[in-house]
Amino acid sequence: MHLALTLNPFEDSDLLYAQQLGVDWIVGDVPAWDYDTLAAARNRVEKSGLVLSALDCLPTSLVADALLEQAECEEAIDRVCRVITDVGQLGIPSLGYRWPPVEADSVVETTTGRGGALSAVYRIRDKEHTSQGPAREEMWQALAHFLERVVPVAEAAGVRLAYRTDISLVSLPEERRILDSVTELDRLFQVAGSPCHGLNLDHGFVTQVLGWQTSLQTGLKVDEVIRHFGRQRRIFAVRMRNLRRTDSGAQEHFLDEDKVASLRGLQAYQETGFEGPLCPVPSPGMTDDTEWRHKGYAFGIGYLRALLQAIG
Amino acid sequence: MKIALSLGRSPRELRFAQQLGLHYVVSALPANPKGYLELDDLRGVRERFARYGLSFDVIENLPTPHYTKAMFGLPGRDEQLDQVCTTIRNMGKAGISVLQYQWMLLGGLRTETSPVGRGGARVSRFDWEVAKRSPIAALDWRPGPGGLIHTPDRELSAEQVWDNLTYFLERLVPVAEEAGVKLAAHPDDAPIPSFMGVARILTSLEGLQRLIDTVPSPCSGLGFCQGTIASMAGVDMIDAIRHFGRQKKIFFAHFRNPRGQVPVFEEVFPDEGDSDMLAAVRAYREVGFDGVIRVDHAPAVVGDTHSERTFGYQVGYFRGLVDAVEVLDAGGVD
Repeated sequence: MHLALTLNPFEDSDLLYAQQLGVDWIVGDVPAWDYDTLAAARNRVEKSGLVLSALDCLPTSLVADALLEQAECEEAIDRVCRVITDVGQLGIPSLGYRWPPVEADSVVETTTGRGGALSAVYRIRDKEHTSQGPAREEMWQALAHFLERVVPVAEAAGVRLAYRTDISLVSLPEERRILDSVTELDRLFQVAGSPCHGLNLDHGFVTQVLGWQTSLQTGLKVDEVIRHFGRQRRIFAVRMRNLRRTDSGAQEHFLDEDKVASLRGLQAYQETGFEGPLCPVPSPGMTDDTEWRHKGYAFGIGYLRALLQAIG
Repeated sequence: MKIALSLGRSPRELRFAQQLGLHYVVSALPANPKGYLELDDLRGVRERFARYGLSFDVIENLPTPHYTKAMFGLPGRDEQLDQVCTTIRNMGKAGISVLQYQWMLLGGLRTETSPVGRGGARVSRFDWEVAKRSPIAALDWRPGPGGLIHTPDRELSAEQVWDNLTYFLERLVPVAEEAGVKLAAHPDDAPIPSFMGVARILTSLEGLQRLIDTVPSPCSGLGFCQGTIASMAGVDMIDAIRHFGRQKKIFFAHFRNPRGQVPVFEEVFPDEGDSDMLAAVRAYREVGFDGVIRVDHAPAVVGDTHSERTFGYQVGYFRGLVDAVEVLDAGGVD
């Protein structure tokens, strides 16, 4: 795996920041998705001597209509296909998407973490039972249709399409929510099994949703969940953070507040031959930090670099 | 391992340290016109840090103006040393257990700060040839009172400087023993044997051993500045941790990893210097080092108005190494 930073390539000083802290892979968080913007993003990263290893995530605005009926849906998918083709033409290896493409209000509260750092708590609705309601099946059908059209385009373009796991989606009511367990993610690859289709994993989601539920249901532990998808070469990117369950949800903690879990997690990713970008998530939020959280990122980069060095 | 930063007392700095998960801090105190550090001040600073959960156990450094006459062997040194004894006794009463001092008559030496680091980061460098060409420019210039001695008005041989240091130790070590305070000598940075005709004596492992053996005491040892020791010509810094650590002579340490050795070295980020910092952490564990180790200077990072990015990065890196060694070498037991 390779240490990377998620940033906006149009911020000169952030490119410099990455380089100074020894991070040479960028995951692009781009402000627009037309060809010219994407080309400019890639060129700026390359001119800086860095590598644009992926684009973080297709925006909800671009994909949302894929949930609608007929014409609107097809038009939205056409737009996504054009983006994928552009991304491939520009030689950017990977692109993220989330599903469902809706915004979820997932932060239950912001509390104080270590030293008064601002720590978000995400609402988690655990499944009471395996729901197979009509809304869920509609969501799956829409996703299946979406993938049926976009995955071949990704294959042709040489772009690895990464489903971006998102803890905020676990706040959705169960009947409207899919892709929240190992079984559900397995289904994702039954629907679209191309080697160009994989996962951008939020490590907090892995530990607090996938690992949590599977340990209740099947006894799988977090590292086994990682191996499960890693062995199938489905892990395309990892966002590293430390979440921990509380009464009200999953709370952010610094990576070193659970050093064993952080290290064992990285070892599991490494053992499966994961070669993609490993991005620190700068949480909890440190006091007097910038909006982008330069301070928090600096700590996270340093910590992950050391763990990577130690596990060799 | 007790990871620390050197901090002032502003709420911003203290919160920063807390959020980084630190429990230890080191700090300088300004030179006191009375010539010694007062008990109330020491207690006040210690209490201020304690309110933020930070233990203040190391003074870095003994203010230079408190003992310049002793360093140069000038008249008036006995009065100065009496006052340093008061500082040591006050530290003992305040519960501050380590006093770092340095024996650089001309202070630290650097020749450049150049944008030649990773991503154009500005790194501090030393190049002996440059220093010889413009010696005054290589001195550690600090404006205002409390600054270091600058252009020397005399030459001093190594034996003269050793005599002065021996006199200092013979006077202070018994007082330190009585007060329960450890005297930690910082090596001479840059570690070259002489500059502008004034000898620099703590510039090799032999020099550091001689210091330890001059007045043998559990209260006389080293402020083990990794960076300075790693930049000594021909020295393997990790071997040096083992050598002095086994003797229990590392009282305090600095986490730094330069690239190069005398005659030319530069202070790069700790993950890109010549030493393997993971091996360094293992060496400290191996010798049972239980003192404070402070994250040292590294290049400035773009936009870093309060040096929080460079120190945040370094604390993260250091904490990661320590955590990894603890987890891996303990077989996964937290």
